[in-house]
Amino acid sequence: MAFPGVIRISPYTLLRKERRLPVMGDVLVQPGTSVEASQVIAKGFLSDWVCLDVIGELNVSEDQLELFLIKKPGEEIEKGEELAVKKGVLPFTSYSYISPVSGRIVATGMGQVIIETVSKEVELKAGLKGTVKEIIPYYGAVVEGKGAVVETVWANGREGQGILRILEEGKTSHLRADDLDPGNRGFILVCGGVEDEKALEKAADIRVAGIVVGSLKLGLRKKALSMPYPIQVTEGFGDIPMSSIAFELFRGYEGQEASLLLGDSIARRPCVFIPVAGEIITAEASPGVLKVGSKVRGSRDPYRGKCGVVQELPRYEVHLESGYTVSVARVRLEDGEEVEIPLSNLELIDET
Amino acid sequence: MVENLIMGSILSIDWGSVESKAFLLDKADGSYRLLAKGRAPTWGLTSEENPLVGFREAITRLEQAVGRKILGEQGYPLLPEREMEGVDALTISVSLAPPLRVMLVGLSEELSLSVAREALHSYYAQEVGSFSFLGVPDKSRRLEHLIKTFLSCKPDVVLMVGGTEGGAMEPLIEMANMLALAYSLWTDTERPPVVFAGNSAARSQVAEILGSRTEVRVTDNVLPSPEEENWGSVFAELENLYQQLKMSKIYGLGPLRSLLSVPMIPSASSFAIITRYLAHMYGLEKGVVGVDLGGSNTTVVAATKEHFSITVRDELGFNKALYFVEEDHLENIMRWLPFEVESGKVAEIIMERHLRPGTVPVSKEELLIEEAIAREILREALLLARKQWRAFLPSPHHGVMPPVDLITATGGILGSIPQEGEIALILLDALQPAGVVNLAVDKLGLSVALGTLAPLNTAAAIQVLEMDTFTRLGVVVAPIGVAPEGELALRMKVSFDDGRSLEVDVKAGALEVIPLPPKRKAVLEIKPSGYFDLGIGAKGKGAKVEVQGGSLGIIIDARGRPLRLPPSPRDRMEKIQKWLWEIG
Repeated sequence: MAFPGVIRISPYTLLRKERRLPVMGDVLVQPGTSVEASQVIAKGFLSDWVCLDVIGELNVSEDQLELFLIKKPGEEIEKGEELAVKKGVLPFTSYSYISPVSGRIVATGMGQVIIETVSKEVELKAGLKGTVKEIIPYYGAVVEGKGAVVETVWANGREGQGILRILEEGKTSHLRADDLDPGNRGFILVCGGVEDEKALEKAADIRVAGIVVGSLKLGLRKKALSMPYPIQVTEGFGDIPMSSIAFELFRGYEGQEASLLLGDSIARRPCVFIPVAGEIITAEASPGVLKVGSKVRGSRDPYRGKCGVVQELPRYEVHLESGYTVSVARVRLEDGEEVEIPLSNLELIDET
Repeated sequence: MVENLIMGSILSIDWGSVESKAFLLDKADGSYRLLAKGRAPTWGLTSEENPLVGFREAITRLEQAVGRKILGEQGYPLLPEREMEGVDALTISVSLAPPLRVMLVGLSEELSLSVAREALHSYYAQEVGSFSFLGVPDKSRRLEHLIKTFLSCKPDVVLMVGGTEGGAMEPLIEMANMLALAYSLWTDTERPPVVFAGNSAARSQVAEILGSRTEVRVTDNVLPSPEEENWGSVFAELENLYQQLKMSKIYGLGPLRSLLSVPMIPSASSFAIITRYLAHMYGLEKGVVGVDLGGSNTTVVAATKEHFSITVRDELGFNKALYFVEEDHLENIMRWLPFEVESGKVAEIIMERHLRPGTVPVSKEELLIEEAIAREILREALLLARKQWRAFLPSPHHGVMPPVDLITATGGILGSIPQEGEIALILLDALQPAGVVNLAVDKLGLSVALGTLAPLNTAAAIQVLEMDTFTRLGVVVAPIGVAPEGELALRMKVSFDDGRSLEVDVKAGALEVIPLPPKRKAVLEIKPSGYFDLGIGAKGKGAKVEVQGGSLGIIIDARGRPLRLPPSPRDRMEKIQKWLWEIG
């Protein structure tokens, strides 16, 4: 029997996210610390390396390099500071090698002095409002938050936070450049799709906090990847509206702060997280069991993005036009139509 | 003999990145047979990242199919079998681990690095950075470039190449010194090992220079002379490192490891073992080519009785075909369709397969688009693979597949296509077999799982391989050459084993099928016209061969080799539709 995938669209759940720096650094929080989404929880530095041809400049041999160095490996050096010096032939004359960069001398060899410089400071944000559950030494932490979660199927590789705002015409509307004005700055815009590249560019100009769409035209994928703000897609590529279950959840939380997060080693899919106060009890995630009454979403044409409720799990198999013979579920779609959908082409909506 | 150690029930798992497959093998009437199977998507069953969920679900479905408990309370298989619960042996092949991240370090971009790049395709490996010694003339900038690349790409392995046998060693020694300096700046605990596959005369010095910084492994020179390439030994090292560095880190492997009856091996290696077995078992002089079109990567194995090669086209599988979208190669896919379609529709299907791997096409149109994608993936993989075979499996004609005895195919899409004629047509179009070649398909993916079993119980592997693994599609007669359409391509007499006979003239451009059911035999007397060679090195030279039937029978592919599609879109679509009808 085919088995549906599971997608979490939950109004209230626990979300655990692994937050990790790309390089070793300092972790600034402790287990149990309450964090805000934009709070920096770890810092590190991206390094660069500069090789200086000291022996070439001083005209000495490789094995003599150490004799002329004023600064040794492990020491810091400032730009313009003397790194090496060689006495001249005449009294009181000398040749100096002045460091062209600031940094730390990390190695010498092959006549070269290697200086590690700081190219960029990197800050790791908590990403979601919650509590630090565990520390990943030197790299970050696992943060757990309580709230609503909508898992999505694609993200453009960026994360961010902002206030949810639903576009007027709802789940089928396409974001146009004309819809955007500076009043949208700092908001996460929720809509059916994006009209064109101009809309994506304008959103960047006015600095929206993010965009969540039902589907994205494939031709916009490359542009979306180059945008400086996060974009997430709930259904897939093409032109399909946002599923009503996801859209209604967003509408219920309009005006609240949300986080757009990428997948990690705990949860593979990207997601939209909306923190919600209160106490919840959730069971450990377990394989979804499809049964009569389960909420499902179609994951392939002709029912892609359509939500419904399982009415029956027939024992018989169905022969498709493609030639496949498959197990199906009889699903009542939101418009009341009852259809048979291959189990392989369904996603079970996990509302826990 | 090791092969007789395990005589009871065997659970063989192929743990893939998209799908987990579980097979229960046991004795029935004195020989091993496949008793039941279970399959489940590896990911996506929960929101949590845990491949064990799919692994267990595949076994649970197998349990349901066979009505027998196999998993224990802890969710791991029960071993040994007791009172019809559990199994006596467990084997696992795996393609779930991410590829090795390899940095290439070589003397020249054109020679050393380009050969090293091809060598990487022999296994689950991807290039994450490269350094060419001759690419940067200034000494400081050169060292700086090496250090920056090495420390920023964070490879799992450094593959160092350069120099032909008998060539100069000095640049290699200097490169080793530079690399040693770069290693001194590495701060993480696990330092990537170096595989040295350059001029063998420099081995000891390179090992001495780098040995104090990291583990150094030496292999045969990947480029012994400018005319000769040698990947075999690099492949073996990559295989070892993949198992050591990547497979060992699979989630949940710890408890499973103690249950395994033989060490877990990568799916590509397992598939290669079976392909080699086929060459030996059936004494196939001309060799066997096996293709496994997986979800995340595509494996092509070529084997003769003496030699074999594996090519893993990583990051190009049926659910990872973004390459065609990124590189704007959608036209290549669309040319295989018998109808007009917008490129956006094809790209959308590729993207959707990427996002949701386990879905099935509902309409015939979508199925044919998926089949067209499969053709192009196989063609891409084959292009790479043929470079690796050329030493032991040369083709008598440029751009044409060498005549082999057998082609086998497996993998999710190839195994699931309902019409066997369409599976055969994908193989004919993508691989373009030449001469007289048998075609077989492994619909269940059992051949990948059986490779792990072979060292444990060879007899069981062979018995299941012979009885339950392959569906014989038939035999292909595909003369090499090109002729004007309508000219005689070949004349053939078919003498069936029931005494009947048939004589056919086949024209150039035609694709014809003569039914010959499985387990039936026939003798073919084939006389190609002066335009065509039957794969024996001479145009017009005939041959007499005994063949076995299959679900399709005898497929005469006189469309020419290399296969050329009509340039006009309308003609092309008509042809493709005609071929689909003709092959059923």
